[in-house]
Amino acid sequence: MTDTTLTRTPSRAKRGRGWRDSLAAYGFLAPWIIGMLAFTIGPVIASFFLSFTQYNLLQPPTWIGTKNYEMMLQDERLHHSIGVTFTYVAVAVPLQLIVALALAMLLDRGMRGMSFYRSAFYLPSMLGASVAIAVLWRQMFGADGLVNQVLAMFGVEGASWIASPDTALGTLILLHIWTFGSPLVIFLAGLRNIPRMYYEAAQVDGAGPLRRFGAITLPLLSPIIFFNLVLQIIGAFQTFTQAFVVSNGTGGPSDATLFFTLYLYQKGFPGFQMGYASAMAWLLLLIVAAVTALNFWISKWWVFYED
Amino acid sequence: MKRTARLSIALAGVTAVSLALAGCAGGSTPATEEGGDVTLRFAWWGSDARHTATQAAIDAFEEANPGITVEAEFGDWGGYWDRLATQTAGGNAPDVMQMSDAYLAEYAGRGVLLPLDDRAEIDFSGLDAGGVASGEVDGKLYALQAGANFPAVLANPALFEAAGIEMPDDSTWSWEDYVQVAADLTKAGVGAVGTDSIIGDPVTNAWLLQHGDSLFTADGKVGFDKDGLTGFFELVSELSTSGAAPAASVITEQMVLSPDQWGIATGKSAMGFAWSNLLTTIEGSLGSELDLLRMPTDSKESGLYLRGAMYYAISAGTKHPVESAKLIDFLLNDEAAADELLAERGLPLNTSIREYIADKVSDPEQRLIAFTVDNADALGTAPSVPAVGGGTYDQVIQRGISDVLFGTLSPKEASERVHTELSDLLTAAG
Repeated sequence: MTDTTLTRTPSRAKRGRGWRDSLAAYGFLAPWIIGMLAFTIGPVIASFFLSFTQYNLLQPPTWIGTKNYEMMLQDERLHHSIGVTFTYVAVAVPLQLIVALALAMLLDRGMRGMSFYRSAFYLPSMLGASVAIAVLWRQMFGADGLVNQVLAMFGVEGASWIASPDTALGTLILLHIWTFGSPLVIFLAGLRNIPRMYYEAAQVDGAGPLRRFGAITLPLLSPIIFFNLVLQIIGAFQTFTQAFVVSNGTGGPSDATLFFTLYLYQKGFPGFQMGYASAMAWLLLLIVAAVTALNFWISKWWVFYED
Repeated sequence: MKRTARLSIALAGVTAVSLALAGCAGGSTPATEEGGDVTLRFAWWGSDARHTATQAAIDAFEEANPGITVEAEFGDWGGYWDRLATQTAGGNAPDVMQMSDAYLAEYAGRGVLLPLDDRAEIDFSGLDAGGVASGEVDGKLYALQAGANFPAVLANPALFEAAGIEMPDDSTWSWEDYVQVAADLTKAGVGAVGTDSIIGDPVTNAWLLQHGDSLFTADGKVGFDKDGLTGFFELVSELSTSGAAPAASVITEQMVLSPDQWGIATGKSAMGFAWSNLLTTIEGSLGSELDLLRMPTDSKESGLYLRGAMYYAISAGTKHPVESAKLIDFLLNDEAAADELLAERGLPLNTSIREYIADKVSDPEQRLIAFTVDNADALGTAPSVPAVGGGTYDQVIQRGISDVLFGTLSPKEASERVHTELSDLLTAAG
């Protein structure tokens, strides 16, 4: 909570230079500020306005008050899509973080070829949200995909994983877990910051590996875990590409992969209900904000700050 | 700490919202041309073969019309509609566009297409009157068919022979026969199932026509009652439970595959349903010839009709209506265009062009044209194009099919839900 604004009254000459400095600063910031205003703030305001209208893209929007929001209460597919999204967040995020932490601890032992492994593990994070990987996933988990070909070698005949309502969401969760690279790198940095002497002292006192993990690693790493958790939850709520590509935009089979964002897209673009889609975007904002606030509130009980 | 919290909330929101808004920004008006030279933008969706053929036709048009340049914008089906809606919202729609029957009412009904009734640049004399009428919405002509096709059953004669089953007589067969033949084929154990699944279009339309209904009425309502698709979903269920069609998950997966990966195209199914213009693609993937059969029917109605799958339309906001109409006239009526386009988009709208290309087109396309001649007496009237808001009907039906196959809905419940959802879509578009 540091305040960077100068409170002392500077001399005239200093004030002149300060003014020039900030002008230069704003000059350098201008591309970012203009981009922010034009492509983020502007659309945000526009979507807030549009959420109170009926807007089919082809004709000017007409004001309908809060009707879109009232319609959301009745929309069973919307409620279903919230359920799918929460399931995904609640399962995929913790699993991914566990995998990331486990591998980070393995890598933290300082094995040979460490930088290679770090890059190799980070690669999926760069690719995970891409169309190419989603297409690959569709091929792998399809009826004639690689997974079933391997299973066939063991005499198991698998159905289409991406087209069965029971397993479709699972394949996408697996894809999310696979992109453990970015939390892994952050965990690694966090682990490096834990002083070795704590471990040495604990070892002298006869603490086993589990005890050392529970009493030293977890508490000292908790701010990092919290940081990863918040980022990953927010990211997971916005998952779109994978579900869009794997289900070809339908959210199928039987709406098993109908993420909130995918339903929003369906309403907005193929469905020509952009006003309703805008209202949905604001609902998502509220949900993510509420979950994040809850996250911060709970963190008081488990996140440990050293200083 | 608090500041971070606020920041991350703000960030999350911003990202979520910007997602919905990617397409809402205002567009710019196209620059005006100088010295009589006109540049048109022409957009379509389709395969590489279509891009090549259409580009060649455009070249021929530019040669015949000095001073007019045509810029091509093309892509795949999904991206095409997102882009077209966005461009239209931004006042930046292409001058000439390929239009689908699924969205014709949507665009025409919203006043973003130019009426074509009185355009002197277009020669209507050679055009098939019924085909022209299919481009009308609320009594006005908004689009002209780029090509017509029809719903058909494709059958693999090699698999029939291997199974020792005779090719059925398609002028008399019922849906009962179809299920029987397909189940027998599966039982014969020739490494293929009897039939690809019914995955919505084109069977739904044909099936409803056979029962005196349609998906939508001309005045923009749902064209069947709550129970109207129960029989259709029973058929879907029967094909699956009898072993005639593959497992539920395979059928559902097929809904998101491209036609060259369907069972009929990979030799894993002995029969399948398709729009006729897919024959070339499917045979190309299979590597051998398929028989074209009529849909089975339980009534006097064959369910066979010529559908304007693709149309040409002009944006209401175009600065060059005359040149745009000239381009459409050229694409429809000129032999130089026909030389390039052939029947790639389906049966041409101009009847003399149909004859002109008859011996130029590929072998599968010749058989398609022959089929329409042989079955001319069975051809019925095409159903109305989907009403405003109904463009995504196929997804609604496909979801119903999946739920019936996975046993989460009974056929009756599925019919009711499809009816309700389609009605809701039309109401929401209101």
